[in-house]
Amino acid sequence: MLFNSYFFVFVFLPAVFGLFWYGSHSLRWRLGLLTFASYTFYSWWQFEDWDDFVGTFVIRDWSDLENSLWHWRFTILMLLSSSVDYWAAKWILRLPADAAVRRKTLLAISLTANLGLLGLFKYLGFFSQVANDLSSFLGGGPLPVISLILPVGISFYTFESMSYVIDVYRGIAKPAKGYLDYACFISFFPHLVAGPIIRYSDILHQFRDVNWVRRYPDWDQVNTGLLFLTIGMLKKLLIADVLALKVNAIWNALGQGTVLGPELAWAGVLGYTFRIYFDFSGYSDMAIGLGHLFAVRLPQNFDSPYKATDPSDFWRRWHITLSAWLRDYLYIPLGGSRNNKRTRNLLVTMLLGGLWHGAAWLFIIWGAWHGLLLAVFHSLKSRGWWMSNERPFGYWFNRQLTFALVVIGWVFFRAADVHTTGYSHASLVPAWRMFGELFGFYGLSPGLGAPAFPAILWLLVALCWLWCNFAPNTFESLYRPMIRWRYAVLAGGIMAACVLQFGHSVDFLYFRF
Amino acid sequence: MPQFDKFHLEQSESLGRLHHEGVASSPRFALIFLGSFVLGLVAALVVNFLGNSAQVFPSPVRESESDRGWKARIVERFVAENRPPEAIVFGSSRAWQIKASTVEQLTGLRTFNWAVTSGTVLDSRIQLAYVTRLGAPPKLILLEIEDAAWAWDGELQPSILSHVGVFRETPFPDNVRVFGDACSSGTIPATVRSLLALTRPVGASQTWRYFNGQLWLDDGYIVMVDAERAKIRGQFFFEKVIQENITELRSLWSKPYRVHPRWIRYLEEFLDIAKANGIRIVAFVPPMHQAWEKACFDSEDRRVARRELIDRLAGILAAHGTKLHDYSRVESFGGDPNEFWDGTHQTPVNMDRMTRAMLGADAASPATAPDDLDLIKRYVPENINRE
Repeated sequence: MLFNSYFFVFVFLPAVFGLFWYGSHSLRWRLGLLTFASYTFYSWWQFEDWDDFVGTFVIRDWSDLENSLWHWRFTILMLLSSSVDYWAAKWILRLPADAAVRRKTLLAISLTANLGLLGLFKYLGFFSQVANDLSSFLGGGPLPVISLILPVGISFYTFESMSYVIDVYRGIAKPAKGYLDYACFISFFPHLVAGPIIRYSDILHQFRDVNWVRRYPDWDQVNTGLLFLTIGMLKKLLIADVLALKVNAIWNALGQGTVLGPELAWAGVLGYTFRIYFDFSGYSDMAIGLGHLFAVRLPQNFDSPYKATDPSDFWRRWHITLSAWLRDYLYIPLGGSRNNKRTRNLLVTMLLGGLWHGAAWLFIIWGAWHGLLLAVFHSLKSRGWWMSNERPFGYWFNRQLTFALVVIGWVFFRAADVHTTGYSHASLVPAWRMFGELFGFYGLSPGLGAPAFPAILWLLVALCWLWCNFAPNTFESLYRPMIRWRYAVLAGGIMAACVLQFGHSVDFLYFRF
Repeated sequence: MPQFDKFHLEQSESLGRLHHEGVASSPRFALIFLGSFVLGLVAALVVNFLGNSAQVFPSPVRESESDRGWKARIVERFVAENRPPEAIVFGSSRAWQIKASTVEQLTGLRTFNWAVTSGTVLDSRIQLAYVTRLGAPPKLILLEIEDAAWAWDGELQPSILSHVGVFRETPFPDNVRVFGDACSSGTIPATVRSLLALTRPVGASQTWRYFNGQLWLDDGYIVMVDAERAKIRGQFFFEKVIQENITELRSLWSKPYRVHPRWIRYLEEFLDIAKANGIRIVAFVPPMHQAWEKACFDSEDRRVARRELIDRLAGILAAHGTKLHDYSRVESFGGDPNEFWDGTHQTPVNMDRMTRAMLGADAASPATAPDDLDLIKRYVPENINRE
């Protein structure tokens, strides 16, 4: 199910909200309801229509059972994945502190299960393709290339699940009070498919917060949730999707070998830079808003990333929950900045961060690019060669330089999704071609078949640049009291406009990761 | 033990504190939000309904110019004028160019071509139910069976809502889905277009229409004006059209052949209505262009699946006493392999031959119905002589 779908807005959300607040105020009911609703939300992807869904309950023979299991496979996968971690953490806690080997074994089982699932569904296809390419290059015979459908949200829920077991193992997180608590934490539908990546310790106390046991909703929190939801919808449906239409036309033309010329190429790259921000931060705002409707505060995921003054600052502002995860569970365990290993650790962390986004060479290059930026930045800063932010010139120079470096990274990121005629999906060609186009190496004017002059796209890019540079982000906006009737009218109107666009919406970018 | 800061949750925590420091919790904001949201949606729906820029609503101010709305209104008018069609062509755009006048000459029956864009057997069943409810069932039906459409769990086009009488015959849950699709067509640009449409004066109604390079006659026949003109100028290359569309349409046609039971049910309902009213049916499967067919049916499995589908449909029709004319090969009725507009739509030359073949006339005999170029000269304001 999508947040930006009629069924979600008109049926699912009101029903779950109503039942949550007015069904019963017992903790068990609320946890159970949210878990059931979240599993329904997740399972929705697997059915084409109502007949398809009902058909899975009619089991007359083995083939029907097989068909039913096939339909429910991703739901079962999530259930199994989270159950393994729940029980692993529970057993780790039961063991005495001196049973280090057995505790480590349980942790290893849990991590292997999680990473195994990720490897199987996300990376097996890529690595089998690499093996095949290598075999062909070396003159060997073709090897089988395995292609599996990626379960929606697997990258997010496996990370959340892994962090729980690791934290319990390290003794820095309290264990779940019951399976329902844990299942609700993993499956809670606002963050399930595209984050923010939460940790159990973020949410544990909230399930027993005063807001959860009250009989009626805290309307101030509901109002805040509605505003977050509206701003998220606005970002996604009225900005990111409009940009997507124009930007995709340019990148598709690139994939077909059409000469773009610098003007179109820059429009395509800058358009994508803002599209990905508004798309993903829009989703995060919606998730946070929906969390508030159920008295759950989810962590901030974006903090005006294009206002960053250096690459390190960028990663403290962009996809904050992923950066924090990579820092806490990868970078620091690797040694962090100790023992002169910072450069190596940064590169490894960012390479794996790139790979987390998708199994393609261009995502790895994107990760390496950011790893390199971070390493160079820290090196320059330690020598005092990075301009200070204290003076306005330095501050603005650093901001625009960081923005430009991030934009270069987006070329790799977006190019990973370009299917170039005559090349395999993993090809690096689209990225190099786009760099060539940006500087007019293939011609200064658009060739035959190129999209028309993107005046609207340039206008949107300019507006987005102003927004990202000068407007407060959603959290900053909502610190100020906005609970006024005129804001309610405005937000309701914006939400109506967003709903009008539902029929023509484009998928969230981060659903594929 | 590393210390894990929670900076990423601090912002949310602060927001949480903000709520509790506020004044007494009140639902007023949420209620105003909800009211404004509903009002905004209703206003947009009303504008879209009346302005009808998506051509899907039965607007009293701006009638739908979709072929579903327009053709249904003509049938309604013919029945009201006591000259209902005695023969009707049902089907998709692949049957658009079956000339009503040719059928009329061959059968002596007043004919109307009611084939509609992306028409399915459900459209045909709804249209037949409607015309029967008007008390004017035809004597003869030419039913196009688009074999590939049976393999899709396709949806009814929302423009079926553009005529209330026809929409009333739409079964549940298709009617709900159509209504939902029609409402969802009102995007922000569509709403603006509808609003602008409401400010423009309504043109005088006429029995024929010319727009989008097509001339629509009041017997339901459609002349491809732009394509005919390009053909005369020697600038029409259907192979190029096929190549241009092949990637997009191939993906559409390459879905697995899984006949949904509801399509079979609709066909049987259609045949039952026809039988109850003593209507003769001539059913046919039209051909594709060879290059197209080669691209779409590139595996033995798909070719076998297609053959099985056609055989299955022929069996159902035979059980109702109707023969299915399988013209899936253009040679089967003496058609010209080059007389196509694109991969699936034949030119009037082939359509004429196919019509004659299915009605038992000599396919090679010269056409006596008005030539399309004559029709263009007669109806289109900027006629072909000015080219």
